[in-house]
Amino acid sequence: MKSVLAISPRDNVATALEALEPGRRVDANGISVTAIEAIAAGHKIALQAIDAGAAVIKYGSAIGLASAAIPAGAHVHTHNVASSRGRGDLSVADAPARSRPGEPADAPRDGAGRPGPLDS
Amino acid sequence: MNDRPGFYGYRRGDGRVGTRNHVLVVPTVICSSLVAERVAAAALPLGTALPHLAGCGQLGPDMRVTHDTLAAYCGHPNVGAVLVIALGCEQVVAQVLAEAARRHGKPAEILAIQSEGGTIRATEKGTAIARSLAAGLAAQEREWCDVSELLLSLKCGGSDYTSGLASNPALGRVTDRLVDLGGSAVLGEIAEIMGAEHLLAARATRPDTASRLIQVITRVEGEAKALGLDIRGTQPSPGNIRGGLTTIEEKSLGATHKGGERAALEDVVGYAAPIRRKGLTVMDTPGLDVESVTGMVGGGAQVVVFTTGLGTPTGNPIAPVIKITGNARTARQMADNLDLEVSGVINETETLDAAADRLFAEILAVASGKQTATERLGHREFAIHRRNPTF
Repeated sequence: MKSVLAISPRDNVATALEALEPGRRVDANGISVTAIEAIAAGHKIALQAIDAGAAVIKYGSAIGLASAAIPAGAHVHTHNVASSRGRGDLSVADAPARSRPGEPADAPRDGAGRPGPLDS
Repeated sequence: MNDRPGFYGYRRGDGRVGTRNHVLVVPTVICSSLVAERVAAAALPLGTALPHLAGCGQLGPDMRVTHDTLAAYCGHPNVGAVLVIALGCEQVVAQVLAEAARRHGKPAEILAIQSEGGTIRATEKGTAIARSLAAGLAAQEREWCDVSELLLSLKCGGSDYTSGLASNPALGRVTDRLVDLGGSAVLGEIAEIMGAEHLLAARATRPDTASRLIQVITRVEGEAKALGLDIRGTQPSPGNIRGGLTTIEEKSLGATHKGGERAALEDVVGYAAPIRRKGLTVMDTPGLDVESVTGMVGGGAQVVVFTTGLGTPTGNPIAPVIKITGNARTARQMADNLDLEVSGVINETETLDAAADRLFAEILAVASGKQTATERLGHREFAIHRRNPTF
């Protein structure tokens, strides 16, 4: 049985199908990565380094933006991923720049390293 | 010889076909709910009640939704006859509900607690009426119906990482196949389309359908924001998050797999509104499980397929709810509440197509009368969506 599953070749995360201990080597999308921390079954592991503010891609689509730099092999979950939708808890100024629906990680970036404004 | 798939259903006076033959005992208002439950319980196996919390103290859109949902159940193809239990002073009009039933070819009676003289007398009289209605339905037989007469409600609840990997994709294959064969499916839970709406909008057959979908999602997102709250915590829920789902976008991308990969999006309709077009319809329901199923069945769905990663027992008073999980641990833990398991898709012991074939066969068997776990256990949850305060 596979230990991780990536759904789309564009995904930069894979889902652990069993608990992964630190140091475990896993393969998905032709990438081999080592878990740098414990990852529970059903949770996600970064297949590559993801910059802060960059899109986290699963199912070939953005599932949110990294709220901190995520190293390859790290646990990817609520502590380092910011959702862009339904965020009434944020003022407009604080709202994470929303990844355009369906946009992959290579969106145009402004000088601060975040994706450019939606409607420009 | 016709070798198209099909099922044995009850043909109704309005031409539609039902998968069950209920005597529906409908309270107009919360105050008459207890009598309705007791009357239905005395008229088993066909008796079923719709106990609810609404029917009075409501204004405007909420009152309309309450009326429309109750009327939709009175006219539903899974219902053979209707007994309306009124109190006597409420807003919901018993005659309107009885007329909804008769318009769809079903016998209907009304009984009011205040006129009958209280709980005991109303329960006695109601029981006699319900049993008589049930006796009238007992002779009706099922007839062969083509699968294109099926409107399937697609639901996911208690989702975890297996929902988007196994159970929802398996259901999605069934949706595509059903629509290819001329049947219909309805998808709800607008908050759980948020983040994946671009995928559904791209399959809309008319531009105004796509824009209506975006409009509905924008409204729901606006409602969360207007409360000044992070939608996360309810969407995804704490259980979803523990189970590996990080954001609503991730949950929605997994959830919308239920709608298939190619079934064309034909319509976007309001809560419990009649579903009129073949193909895939999106209904404006919340993600809250019971309100969502209540609405989709109100739209005319005769069978519900409900995928669950973590396990949930809820059913519906008039439609069989098939429970399917892709999580092997849940399949053992909540075996009593489940009908199918597709965890083999994750550990690669079963292909997605083979799992979809099994689910398709189960749907036809259930449509023809096979009892689901929800029916066996007596789970008949019912809740009408409401947005505004009571007065």
